[in-house]
Amino acid sequence: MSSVVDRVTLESYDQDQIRKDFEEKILPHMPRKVPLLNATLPTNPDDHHMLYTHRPAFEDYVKDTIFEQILLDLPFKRGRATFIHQLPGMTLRFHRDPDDKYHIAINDPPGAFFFDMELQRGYRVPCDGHLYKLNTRARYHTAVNADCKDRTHLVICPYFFDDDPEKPTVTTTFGFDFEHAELPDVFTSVATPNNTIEQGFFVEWISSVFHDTTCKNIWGENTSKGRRYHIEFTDADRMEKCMTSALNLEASYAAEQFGIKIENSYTR
Amino acid sequence: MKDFNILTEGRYEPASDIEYAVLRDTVKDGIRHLVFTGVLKTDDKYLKQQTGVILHTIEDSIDANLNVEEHIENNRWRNIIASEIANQVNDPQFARYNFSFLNSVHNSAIKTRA
Repeated sequence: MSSVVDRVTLESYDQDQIRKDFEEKILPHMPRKVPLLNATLPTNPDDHHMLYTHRPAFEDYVKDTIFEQILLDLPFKRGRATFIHQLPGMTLRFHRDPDDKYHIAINDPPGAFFFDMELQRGYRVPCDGHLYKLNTRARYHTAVNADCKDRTHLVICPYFFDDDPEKPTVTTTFGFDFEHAELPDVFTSVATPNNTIEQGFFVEWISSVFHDTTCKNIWGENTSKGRRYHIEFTDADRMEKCMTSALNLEASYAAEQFGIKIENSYTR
Repeated sequence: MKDFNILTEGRYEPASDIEYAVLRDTVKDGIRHLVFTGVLKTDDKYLKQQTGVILHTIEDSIDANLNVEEHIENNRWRNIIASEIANQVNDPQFARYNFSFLNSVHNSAIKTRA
């Protein structure tokens, strides 16, 4: 079993330079209301809305900073990379990601921590210029800043597609519809039924889809009472396996127990 | 309800059962892809409050000529599923599929166009 926070670099980057570049070049661009700032860009601007796609380019404010060098040094293809600037008192709701995340801590004050729900334990990510892998794939977790100073991390997603980008692709869709479902009354404007159903039922399967190296892309589209995922593979057999995997069928069956209708052309 | 009392000893109310279902049974190139699951059906108020589904699934690729029912029986799949479900009942707030936790503040796992 891997641990929750693993150091992955042998040599550290200059922590003073990391803080200096952040304060001088990145922080001025940080939005005040939702303090998240993008660092990487897809080649095609039309793909900007897709979180899980290849993002080889950089935002202008990242260029010529130590963060550009850190991102160029990664031994995997770059996906989304985001500066997360948690102000004092700020926390996220418990959620699970479809992938593990790589963090470099810019500021991590003593009162801030990453919390793993399953182990019921909080972790610091050391501010030592090293890159850390956090085990967030399909595990409920959150980040809490209970300090009086900011907690700032650069959070990086890998992009797993490892096939020929020029190869022809096949596409399919998978969807759910909650119009006739029995849902608990727990929703807010942010924690919508769609987001909650995705979190509660389909994150593990989504994770398995885009960890397949022949999966080129996956993105979701909200429908009137549900969500539809558009999925693109370069290997039709691998796509069929993902669409008919036990993980997919089990999650679909679980959702159907609440009256959520599933759309999957491979199984219906 | 059938008598299934592994789950109901002690703190739980009775009337729990496992509903089994074959989720996939297809044959391709002489290989049968079989996915078999069991889901806990219960009237237990404590378990129902968790708004989760407790289930366990088994998958196998077998010779197309094998009898499905016999394969499930011979491999004691129902017993394995019942045992796994009983383990989950010990800690039902961690049911693998549930409405218990909400999404992060910033977005869903897969960004949407809409």
